[in-house]
Amino acid sequence: MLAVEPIEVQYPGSAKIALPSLQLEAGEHCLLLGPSGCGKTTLLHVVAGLLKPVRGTVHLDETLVTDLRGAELDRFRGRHIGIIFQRLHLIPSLNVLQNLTAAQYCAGLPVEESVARSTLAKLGVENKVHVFPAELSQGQAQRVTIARAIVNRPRLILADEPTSSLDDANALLVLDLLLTQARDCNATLLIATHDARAKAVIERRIELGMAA
Amino acid sequence: MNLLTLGLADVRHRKLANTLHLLLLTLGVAIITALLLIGTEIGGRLARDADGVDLVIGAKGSPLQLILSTVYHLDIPTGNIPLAEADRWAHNSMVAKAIPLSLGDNTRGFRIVGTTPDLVANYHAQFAAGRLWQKPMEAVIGAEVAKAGLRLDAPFVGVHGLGAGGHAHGDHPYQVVGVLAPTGTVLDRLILTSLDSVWEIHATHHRHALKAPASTPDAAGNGAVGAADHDDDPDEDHDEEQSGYDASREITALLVQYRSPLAAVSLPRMINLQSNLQAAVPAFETARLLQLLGLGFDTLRALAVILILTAALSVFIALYNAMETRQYDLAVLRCLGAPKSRVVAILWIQAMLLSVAGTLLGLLLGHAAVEVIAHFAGAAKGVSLTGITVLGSELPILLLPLAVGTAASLLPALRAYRADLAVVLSRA
Repeated sequence: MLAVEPIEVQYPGSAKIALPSLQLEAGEHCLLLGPSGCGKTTLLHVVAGLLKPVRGTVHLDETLVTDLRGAELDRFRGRHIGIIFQRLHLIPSLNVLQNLTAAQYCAGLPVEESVARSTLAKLGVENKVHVFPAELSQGQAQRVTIARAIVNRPRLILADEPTSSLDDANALLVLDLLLTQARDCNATLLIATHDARAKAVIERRIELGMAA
Repeated sequence: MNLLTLGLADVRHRKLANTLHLLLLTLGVAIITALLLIGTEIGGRLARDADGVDLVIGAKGSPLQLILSTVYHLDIPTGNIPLAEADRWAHNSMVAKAIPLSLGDNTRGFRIVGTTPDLVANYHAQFAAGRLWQKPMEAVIGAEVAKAGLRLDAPFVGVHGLGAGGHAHGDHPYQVVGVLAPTGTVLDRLILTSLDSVWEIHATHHRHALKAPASTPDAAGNGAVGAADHDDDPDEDHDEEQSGYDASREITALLVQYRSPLAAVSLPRMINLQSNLQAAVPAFETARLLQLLGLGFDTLRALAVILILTAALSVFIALYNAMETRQYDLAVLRCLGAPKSRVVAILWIQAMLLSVAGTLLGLLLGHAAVEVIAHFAGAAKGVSLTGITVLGSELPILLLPLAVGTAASLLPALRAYRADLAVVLSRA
């Protein structure tokens, strides 16, 4: 389902970073482990099509993601890949419901408030629809972010350090939410983390070493 | 959820800053609009009033005063001229049409003008009611005079002088026989009658005047410079005129229309050199007047341009600064699937929302300001202003938001367009 051939990335003004290959089946979940700065986020960005590798390919089902360009790539990402950022990146000027409908709109999908509301309900934040992100607690904001990532029922969910700022109980709760929602969409879940607590929940893991 | 919602949401999110930018832009546009309206209305009014008048022949003095007093009816006249001498020029071969004017009295502050029906024809005035005067002491009133309370068939009494509060000619009441439709010219504020009416009134008074000893020159206390002689203010001019001519046969000025443009070259010179009269060209004097005022207009206009530039700059700075935090939002929108073009469009819409709102509010405020000015000052000065009108020259102002908005959003949009998503997002 997700197939990543060995990838090389070049940030401007720095050495090339080589990243390992990766194969995941539909509904299979995987952890990207390793210390900070080892390239976990970079690999997520390449998979999401946010960063163009200088070598290597990314396939999502039949689509060669690394070949898509411009608006086509943005649309594909919006429809099929849900991203949960380390900093949650909710849009401060939009309320919770609008943050979700913006995801539908940006992906070029019909804006359906009912879908957005039911997604928020799945994550237990349906009573916050008209609240702005600044007024949410950290935990609520995280749930809204997850809701936004899955509102378009993506095939692939990428999460970057989703548990790093949470205590044990909440970290497990968030991991559980991610797994439940991924299963619900029959999506593949790829989590980049240096958090050992995640290992208890997801078996498949890829260790990244320090960049050579 | 659409581009407008996204742009509007961000504008609302930064209320205070955006309100300030809006205010600056509004003020700039309002001042430009008000200047445009006032300039055009005064200029247009001056042009309409002088329509069909190529030359004014009157007593020697300031040419500007002669024009202001006889064409625009704002100032007091320079004096009187003998009808016989005026007639000589009226029949000159270079003159197509000559309209005599005889000023001196008013009622309720509206000037009573002794003239010929040609004056009505010159301004293409239509009758709202009644007819032209046919006998002495019949009068035709302008639209504003009618609004002020004079009625058809009602009698009224002329008061000596050109401002309210002079000696009343109580024994010679006028009769209103016609009311003119509004012309948008000075005619609206005039009361027209035959030359004979004015002569008749003042001839009667003239007989009193002859008995009275000549005293000090008139201090023009009530603005009275009469068509004719007057018992209140006999001055030296009067005495001279009385000795040479029948003083009752005098007029204030002659409005002349040339037979051909060539007359403009020689006729004014001829009159000024060969007679005791003065010839003044309205077009020239008006231009001179506007030039004097123009200094003020230009300064204000420059100020308004500076205000608008400041406002544009402030909208620009606002958008550009907002980009620092907005870069993440826009990057997130791209992550969510929005193509670059759409992100740029959001920024542009945001800038346009501010600048269009600023421009429309500015236009509204400008018109309202002119209307308020008109209400307090306009009518009193005889030049009627109005804010409730739309000028063709306002159209370019509508292009302003397009220019300002586009310019202000260009640089931020370029940054957003070029932004490397992975870099922006990991920098957060």
